[in-house]
Amino acid sequence: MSVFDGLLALVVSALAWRCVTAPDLYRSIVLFIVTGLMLALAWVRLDAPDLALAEAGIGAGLLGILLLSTWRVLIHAGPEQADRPGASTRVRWLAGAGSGLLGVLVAVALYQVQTAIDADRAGTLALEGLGAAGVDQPVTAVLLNFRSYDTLLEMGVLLMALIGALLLRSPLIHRPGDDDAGTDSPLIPVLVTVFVPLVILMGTFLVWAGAYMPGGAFQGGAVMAGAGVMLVLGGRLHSAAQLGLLMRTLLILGVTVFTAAGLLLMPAEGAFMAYPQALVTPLMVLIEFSLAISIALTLLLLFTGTTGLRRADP
Amino acid sequence: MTLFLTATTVVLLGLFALGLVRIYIGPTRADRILAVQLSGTTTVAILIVLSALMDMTALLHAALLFVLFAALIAVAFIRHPQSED
Amino acid sequence: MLDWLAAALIGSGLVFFLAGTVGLLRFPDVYTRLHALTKADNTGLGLLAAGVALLSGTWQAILLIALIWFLAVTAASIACHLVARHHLRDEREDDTP
Repeated sequence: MSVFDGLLALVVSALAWRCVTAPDLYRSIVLFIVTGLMLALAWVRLDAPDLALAEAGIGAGLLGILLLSTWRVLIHAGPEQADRPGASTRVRWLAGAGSGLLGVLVAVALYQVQTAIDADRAGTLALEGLGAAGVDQPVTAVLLNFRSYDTLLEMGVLLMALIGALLLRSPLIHRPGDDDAGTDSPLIPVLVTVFVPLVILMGTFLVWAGAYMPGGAFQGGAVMAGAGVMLVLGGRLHSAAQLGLLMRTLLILGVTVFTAAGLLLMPAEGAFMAYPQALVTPLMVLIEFSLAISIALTLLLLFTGTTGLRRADP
Repeated sequence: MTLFLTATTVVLLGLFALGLVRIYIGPTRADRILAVQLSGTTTVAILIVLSALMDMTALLHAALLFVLFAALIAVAFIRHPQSED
Repeated sequence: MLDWLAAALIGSGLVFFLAGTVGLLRFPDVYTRLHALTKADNTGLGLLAAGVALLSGTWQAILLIALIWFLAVTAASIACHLVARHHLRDEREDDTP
């Protein structure tokens, strides 16, 4: 297996290098997506399937699609916009060399750390206390229970990011022009009809699976957002000027449920975000699903850069 | 069997690296996106073999995600999001 | 016996993968390279997946692998159709400035 790992490390470094030094924007985007594929494999080999799932959904998937869509909008605005090189060749090679050096240094540092783990670190304590967490999957237990403050604030950060993006917005959705002629393949509706239900099912499954195996609200939410992106690209969802009451409710659902669960049980438990043993498993699932819905909608609105979405008229 | 599966992953990764040459030489954008699709298929194959080798069902879920997102990447390559207002 | 069958399936899958990669590198234009991708690679994936499914033993894993292959074939055919159509339009635009 060490041959595989060595080759993998070599390919990842070479890809990252080319991604930075590529001569035009399009090639960088393509290389970014392929690097995402390899990074997912690297996470698998590091025994972190949770991160492999996140990388597949967010890194290679949503982010790659966002970059490609941005590139198409740039092409639409004028080809010179998309082909303009960001920096001189020398700067790009320097950046590549710098990233490579940093990578080697981090690898050396991490190797040093790994050899010096002692018994009563946080990780060991978390694994020992897993019985009280209400879920069997250590990653989910840490995210939703042992460090729930952090996760709650992360949801706040995500919401702030969306508000910031909407203030500075430059929507990816544009008016249809002659540019779209010829790309209206009859197979796109087929793709949307077959794949969207499956993607939603897969997202829901990943959220549910988060309780006992790799998966969880972030991965599942990203996959559900992917279904939304497919609907947008397939022309089933259009932009709307107003963010409706339903959308607003869904956007804050995660933070609200998380905070409410913490506050309402405070009189009984005596501490914020402490859950009684009898209720902890259903509470975890409830919180996980509401977080996933908010994450999915936030990522979708970040993708389109519009304040709202509505169904296309048939 | 473990040795055989390990060798399989190494060969697949080597083929993946070889396919990257098409991204380098191009020449058209369509060629490069084809190379991405091929890398996606190879990654899915590696994940399936690894799921048997490392005994992790979750890797099959990751493979499924890659398949679903590969189609989405092709659509994003050819199509703008549209609006009518 | 089952092991040998699985090894044979995985081995022949690898041959198809090799053919796909060689095709992607050696074929003269985009339209021929599409064949390398849709046909050779997905056959390779199918054989390899069947081999691993034989080894895995649990019916959940077999179902999941079958689903992955089915979706990979669907996605690849649709993706290749879209890319080919897009490329054809690009070429026409280049011919009529």
